[in-house]
Amino acid sequence: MRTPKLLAALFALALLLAACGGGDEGESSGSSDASEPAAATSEAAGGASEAGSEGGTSSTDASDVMAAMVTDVGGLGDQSFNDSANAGLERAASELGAQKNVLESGAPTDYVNNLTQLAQNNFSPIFAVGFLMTDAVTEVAPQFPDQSFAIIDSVVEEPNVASLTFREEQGSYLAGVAAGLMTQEDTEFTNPDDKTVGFLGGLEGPLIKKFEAGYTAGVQSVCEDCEVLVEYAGTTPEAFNDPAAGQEIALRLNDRGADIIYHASGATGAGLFEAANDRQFFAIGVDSDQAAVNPGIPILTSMLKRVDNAVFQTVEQFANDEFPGGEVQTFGLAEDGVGLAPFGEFSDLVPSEVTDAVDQARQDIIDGNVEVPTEPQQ
Amino acid sequence: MSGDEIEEVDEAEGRRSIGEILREQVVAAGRALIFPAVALAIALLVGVVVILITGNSVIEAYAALLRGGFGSRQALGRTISNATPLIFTGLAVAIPFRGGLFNIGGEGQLFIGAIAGVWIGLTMPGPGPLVAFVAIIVAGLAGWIWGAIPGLLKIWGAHEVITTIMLNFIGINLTFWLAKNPLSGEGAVPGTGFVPEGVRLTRLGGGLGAAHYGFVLGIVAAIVAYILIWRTTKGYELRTVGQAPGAARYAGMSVAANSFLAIALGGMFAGLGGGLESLGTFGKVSVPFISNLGFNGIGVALLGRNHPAGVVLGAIFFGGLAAGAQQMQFSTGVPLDLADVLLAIVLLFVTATKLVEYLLGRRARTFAAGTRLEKGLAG
Repeated sequence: MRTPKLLAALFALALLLAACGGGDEGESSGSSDASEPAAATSEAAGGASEAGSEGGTSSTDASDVMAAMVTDVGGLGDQSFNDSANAGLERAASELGAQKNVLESGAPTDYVNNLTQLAQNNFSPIFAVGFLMTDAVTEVAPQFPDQSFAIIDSVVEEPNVASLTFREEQGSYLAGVAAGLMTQEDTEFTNPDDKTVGFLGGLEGPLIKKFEAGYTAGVQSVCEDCEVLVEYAGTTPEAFNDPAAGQEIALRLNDRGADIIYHASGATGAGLFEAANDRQFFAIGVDSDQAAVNPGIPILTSMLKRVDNAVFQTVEQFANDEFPGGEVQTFGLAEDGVGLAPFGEFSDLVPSEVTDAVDQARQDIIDGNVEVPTEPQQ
Repeated sequence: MSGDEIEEVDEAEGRRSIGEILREQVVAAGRALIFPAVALAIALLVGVVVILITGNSVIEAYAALLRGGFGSRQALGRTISNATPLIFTGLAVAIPFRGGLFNIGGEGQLFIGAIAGVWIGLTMPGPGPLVAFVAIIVAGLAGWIWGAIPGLLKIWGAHEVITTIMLNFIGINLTFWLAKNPLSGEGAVPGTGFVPEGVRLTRLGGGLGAAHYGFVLGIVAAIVAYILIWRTTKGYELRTVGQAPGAARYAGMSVAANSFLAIALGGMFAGLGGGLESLGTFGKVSVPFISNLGFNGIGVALLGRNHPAGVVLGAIFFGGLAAGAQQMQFSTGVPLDLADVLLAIVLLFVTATKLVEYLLGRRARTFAAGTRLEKGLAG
């Protein structure tokens, strides 16, 4: 009885193998063709960069640019900065004809490996997405002095590393202006008697304090006697991924009178949206236009962090031989690095004075008439 | 890979020719490898489907997988670097398993060892090698303590599966708190500061990248574990308690003491692995830190059939797959997740012994020795 079973299993295996073997042969001819041009172009690119450095000022042909990025452990599909950076690279690929490669990191050990892998294969510039990769870039970049690296949201002081940071406080200031004015309006989501708004932070630390500082300053610029209630979800990275805590905090802030709550807390913000939907008050999203991906939920607007713009602009600078190596680039309102999303489906509830005030505040910041604090004042 | 049963028979008879013994050893090793090999073959077949779905060439993808794991010195370095902590977390599961306990607490034990090692590395004065030596010892001790807690609770009647899981949360969060408060360092990545250069483990060199001497210590640890469990009286007791607690008690062995020893030893190995990882690979404990090494240790131990030699091979397999997946992602765009899919299928078939028994016939039952989960959960 056993032998037939074994035979049958082996037979099935053999069939499968044969089937796959056939498929492989068919494909391998195609794939080997594909791999050769790839190798050829990487050589060509290596040659071009050599020529470029010898020739001095001669501009690199943009189509020779081999741009790449390494995600942090959040990976692609995070609907946050990894996806945004990828969008920037894709734009560089389609508009500048740059080659692109994206390596995802499964664990912190992968940071150094992935950066090294890309550098050894002549990719440049190489974007490290997220401050978690600071140590890895500090280690790898000096080993490849002829290639360019860029790090998002952090600063690495090496001559071939561009540090791309964002003026989150400026975008948050605009969110604060909108919140401070809207909380005084009488709508189905806001109650003018209670001049209170809220802020929900993720991990309590300098980065998220920038959001809080800008938001509070924005609120107080248009409503001196408004109160801003501030709560953080925690002090570990888990604070960015805890919707239950977000919901609990949002409900508590709402109980204390906050009818507009701005969050800078990653996936924790999903809890805020749930609470806002249950209690019908306004939420303000962060990083991307969160109203667009959460239709029906009262999300007034979102503070935009345009990592894609920063990545695209940096690839463009590289192509023009203007790579800002060794410099700290700050992307604020003026550089289109941060901004405020349109009011979208709730624009009917927003009086024109509010949109005017937001536009005015944007202009004031760009012109330097308003200096937005990066640390909370209290 | 040697079958333990065979060697015990050896001692009893002791008069057979070397050729005979060698032959039996080879057969035993072959038998031990059959299960993982069948599992791997099935996993690779399923992988073919996944790769085809992603629109890539199967041969190219698998070639990249192999090349990225073992194809160059650098690839080998990545594999070794990945495998090093897994040897320790694998032993952290395998040894308690032999004592009849299922240690899910490798993750917490590893974190505690990692932070303990860095604590010594940051604060102890003296020459680098001496500090490193003490730091590794302390990491192992810290892991021992973290393993001893569920050992004690076990004596008082709390099941180790529950207590080790709970201690993971405590260990991980305690580590994060320590790293961000008393031991916090400057720098953009939250966590402790870097330990001095002299305290960091020496790298193997020879183009092996980040691979460090922790790997050599891992091999040594596996040998020590083997001798401890199969070549000492205490180890014999431990295994007896694991296989037949009733008989062990009847023979005058203390089930409580041996259970305690088994899981504390497991904790020690995980703690050592954590210390080597923080002092060797990273030089610090960051927040977030490496994750899942403790849990992957369970897979390594199952794949290695809870035998130290198998654990080393299993760790290298896991490490190589992770390194290869990275190459595959780079060369072909097959997502990193495929490696996880392959691993999961391999583990599924390695643990689903009944299924493979059905396919290979009842004789396969003997091949599956050492992988039965119920044995671990029974204690």
